[in-house]
This record gives sequence, structure tokens and C-alpha cells, in this order.
Amino acid sequence: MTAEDHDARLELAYRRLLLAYPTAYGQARGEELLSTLLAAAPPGRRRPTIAEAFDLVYHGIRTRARTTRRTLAGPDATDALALAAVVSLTVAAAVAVAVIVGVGLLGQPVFYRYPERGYPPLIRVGVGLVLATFPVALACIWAGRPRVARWLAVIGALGTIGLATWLAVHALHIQNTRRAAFDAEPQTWLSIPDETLEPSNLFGLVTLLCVPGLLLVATRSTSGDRRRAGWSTALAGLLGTALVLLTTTDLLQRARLAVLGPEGTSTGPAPSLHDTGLTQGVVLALVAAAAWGLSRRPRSQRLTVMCALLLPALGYTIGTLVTPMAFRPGWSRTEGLALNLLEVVLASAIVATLASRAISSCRPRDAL
Amino acid sequence: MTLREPTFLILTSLASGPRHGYGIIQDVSELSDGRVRIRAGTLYGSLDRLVDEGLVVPDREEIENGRLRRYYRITGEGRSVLAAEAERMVANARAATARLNMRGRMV
Repeated sequence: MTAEDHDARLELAYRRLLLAYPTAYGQARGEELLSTLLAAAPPGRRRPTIAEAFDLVYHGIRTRARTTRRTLAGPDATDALALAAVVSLTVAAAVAVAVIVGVGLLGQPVFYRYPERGYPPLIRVGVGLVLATFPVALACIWAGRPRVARWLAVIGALGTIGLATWLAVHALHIQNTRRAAFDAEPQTWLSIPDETLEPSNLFGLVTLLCVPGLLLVATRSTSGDRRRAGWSTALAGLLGTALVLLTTTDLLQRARLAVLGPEGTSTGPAPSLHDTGLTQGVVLALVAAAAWGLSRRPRSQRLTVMCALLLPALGYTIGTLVTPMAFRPGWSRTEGLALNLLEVVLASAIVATLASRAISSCRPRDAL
Repeated sequence: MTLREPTFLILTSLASGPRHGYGIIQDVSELSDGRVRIRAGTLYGSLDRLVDEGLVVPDREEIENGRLRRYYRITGEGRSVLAAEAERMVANARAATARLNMRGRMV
């Protein structure tokens, strides 16, 4: 094998490693890097050393991270983040309206695993009050009151966390009562309502409803500190991706098995995040992707906003079609589904009207 | 601003005149008696940062044996940052030596 062959092989190997760098960087600097690499290689070397390969891949990834950070912290990122905040608030408001209708008015067992039992009236009222903050917050952006909107979104997020905690404690209390009754008198325990929680819906709701508050607060802090905006968006993206990964793989179930063993999981069906968790994960990831895309190509704003308006309907439809909340006692499956679809249409129509006014009446950066 | 050792040595190497990537690698190796061998990925990572911070600018380009070589030049700001860092290191070294000597006398 001649020296030229060695050089050609080495060059090819280096070129492959340089693929770790962003494409644009590779086009601009690749030849220069390659010339330095080849000059630094001792004669007769046929392939890069492991240390060299690691160095190139590591710095390639770091360069990618740096470009990403710079794009997210660029001048368009503030607009994009503000828009993402409005988009996520839109999604949250749609889901909130749907849940208010479902839980507060119709008493759908969204949060309970066994749909035979309704809620205590306190929960219905609580859900209505807490979740109403989201459509109101969206209306406030429309009305040009971003400060109020920001506060409402944060209050709504905290309220949702509180509500979820209260539901969880309540369910635990009911479970303990049922267990005690079973131990004492096996005949009567069945008469105590089973209020086992459906954790996927609860977790999903909490995640989804906390995002607008976070983004709106991040938007406020971006006038002087754009880097934080980038990090917030990246964080939302990571969170969304993690949720999608968690829900599409059996990671959670495996972790449960590993920690608790088969006995620990045998007491009841494992909490499945498959349905709503997936929806929320996709929504989160899409919000981040929208912000990312907008910060690169601000002109596609209108298209992104249109897609964003379809998201709540899509998400909620998927959520309701695959979870037991479509099934109500005394209703046939078709009737349940029809009612859910009606809910989706109603919620989407209300929110889409609010959101389109909110978005079209102002440039996001000025509005928030 | 505290400079990491490779960055410090890259600036030191450029202080005497513009150099291209491989030139810097060789020079840094000489400057440090062969102790520091900068790899290409690390070198260009540092150079990009230094260019962003305005301490270094790309100079001229040359084609040698059909390969592109870009030269880098230190800026005025780069010189003052390097000078401040060198001064800081000298002061630290002097302080350390003085304390070591003091302890030697005390024992």
C-alpha cells in the first residue's frame, strides 16, 4: 500500500469524525481542520487514534451545543419564546376548558381509574376555580394585560399542583379506609367508593399546566438575559422528549420492577403514562420545536401558530379516545365518544377564538 | 478573566506573530517542553472562543500542497488579557515561593 493510500484512508476517517460538527461549521471550517489534522498526523498513520477521535467527537458535540445556544439566545429567540408561551397557554387553556366541562360540569371520572364513582362536590368546584385561570389568562393577553396573565398562569400552575396533591392524599386516605374495612369486615368494604387515582391523567395535567407559567416568566426575564430564554426552551424540549421516551418505552415499569420487585407491583395495575403522558410529551416537545424553528426562521410564524391552534384539539382527542374517560356509567361507548368529541370541538373553538385574537392583535415581544 | 492552560499557551504562541493551526500545535508543544500537546478539536474549540471574545482574529489564508491553511493573529485586547494573566501568574508564583521560604525559615 502506498503512502497516498494511507493518506486517503486517514483523510476519509477524519472526514467521518468531522461529521460530529454542525453541517454549516463543517462547510466553513472543515477543510482547515482537516489540513491541521493531517499535518499533525505522524507519517504512516493509517487511522485516527482513539484520543483524537474522542477529541473531535467531543468538540463537535460542544460546537453543536454552542450553535444551538447561540440560536436560542439570538434576537429572534425572544419573539419565539414569547410565541411559545402563548402557544403553550393556548394548549393549557384548551385542556383546562375541556377538564372544567368534563370534571366540573359532567363529573367525568378523568382522574379516577374506576369510572363508576363521581367526585365529591368540593373537587368539582376546586377544578373549576383553579383551571378557569388559564382561559382567563389567555383572555388577559388578548386584552393587553400581560402582567395579569403571567400572574394567573403562575397561580393556575400552583393551584393545579395543589389540586393534584389534594387528590392524591384523598385517594390514599380512601384506600386506607377500604383496606381497614376489608380487614375488619370483608362484606362492607365494597360499599366504600373506590377512588383509585389514574396517575397518567393527573401527571399529564400538572405537566401541561405548569409550562405556560414557566414560559411566561422566562419571557419576562429575557429582555436583559436572552441566554435564560434559550435554556428555558431547551429545558421544555428535554422535558417533552423525556416524557415521550418514558411513555413510549417501558422504562417506568422496568424501574418499578427493579425497585419494588414483582411483589411491589402486584397490588394493582401499574401507573401507566402511556396515554395522556404521551400527549403532553408530544405537546411539550412541539412547543420547544416551534420555538426552535421560529428562532431560526421567524417568517414561518403564521404556520406555526396555525399548527399550535390545532394541537389542543389533537392532543385532547387522542387523550380522550384512548383513556377510560370516554366511558361513563349509563352511557354507551358511542355516546361517550360523541360527547367527548363535542367537548373537544367546544373547547377548541373557545380557545382558538381567544388565541387567534391574542396572537394577531400584537407582536409577541411587545405583548408579553 | 482566568485563562485555561491551553488557551493561555495558544495566546502566548500567537503573541510573537500570526500562525496557522498546525503551527500553533507545534509551537505550544515547544513552549511547554512537550508537556502540552493540543489536539485539533481542542485547538479549534479554543480558537472559536477566542475569536468570539475578540482576543484573536483570523488573518490570511494560504494553500499549501492543496490544503487550506488559515492564520490567526492576536488582537490588542488579546495582548492585554495575556499580559494581565501572565502578571497574575507571576504574582501568584512569587507569593507561593515567598511563603515556602518563610515556612523553611520557621521550621
